[in-house]
Amino acid sequence: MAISIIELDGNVTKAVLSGRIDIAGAGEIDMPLSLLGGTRRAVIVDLSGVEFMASLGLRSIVMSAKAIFSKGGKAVLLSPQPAVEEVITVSGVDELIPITRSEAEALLAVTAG
Amino acid sequence: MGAVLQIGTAMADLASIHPWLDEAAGPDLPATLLNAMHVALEEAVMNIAMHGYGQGEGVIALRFDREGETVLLTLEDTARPFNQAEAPPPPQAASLEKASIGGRGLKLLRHYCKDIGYEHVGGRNRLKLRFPLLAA
Repeated sequence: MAISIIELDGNVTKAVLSGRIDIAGAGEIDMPLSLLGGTRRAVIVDLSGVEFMASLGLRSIVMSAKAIFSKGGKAVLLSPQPAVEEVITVSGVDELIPITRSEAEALLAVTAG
Repeated sequence: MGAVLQIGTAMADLASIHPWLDEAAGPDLPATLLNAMHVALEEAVMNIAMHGYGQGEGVIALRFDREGETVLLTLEDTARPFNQAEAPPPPQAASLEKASIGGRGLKLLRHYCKDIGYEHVGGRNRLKLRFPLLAA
């Protein structure tokens, strides 16, 4: 499990997650994502390198996104692998945080409006 | 030949379910099935820890069995009665909203495990998650 935070142009922040976000992994992303939720308004959560995610990982992402939304900000998910996307769509989290398929689409979504 | 694990509700204990499941499953389970088992097990265990025991400490006993073409996970705890096979998220969840994804979690559990058995016997919740080997 690894997380890196990349600042893009236009005050957009990309959180790149990778590896297994199981219970231990969720513990590692919880604080950095919470910090993003408290301080950023346009966030792309890049899931392309994530091999596994379940309840706790979803919870960390949802909590961070809710904090961003509460400030009028925007957050999107980027390119989850099929097994991870299934977890996201079955839980209905994609209705809260949209899934995007390319960085261009993600950038547009968090900067539009 | 069942593998067993007994854990407390501290986060470090809860985290041990994933490496335990990998070891219990061995190398020959299909990846799709193993993924489904990990997602379902995490949800069920977190529900017991967060909703069943709430803020209190408790013990969760796990067992992995392979019965012919079925893989079975059995979870036992002494928290208040909580039927994850049928129950809506318990009202206690409201105060723990920050610690859960609300009702979404039970959807996950029931999607990844189609055969969930529950009984409450002798003051214990016993949850049985059955996964068919062939349908994976």
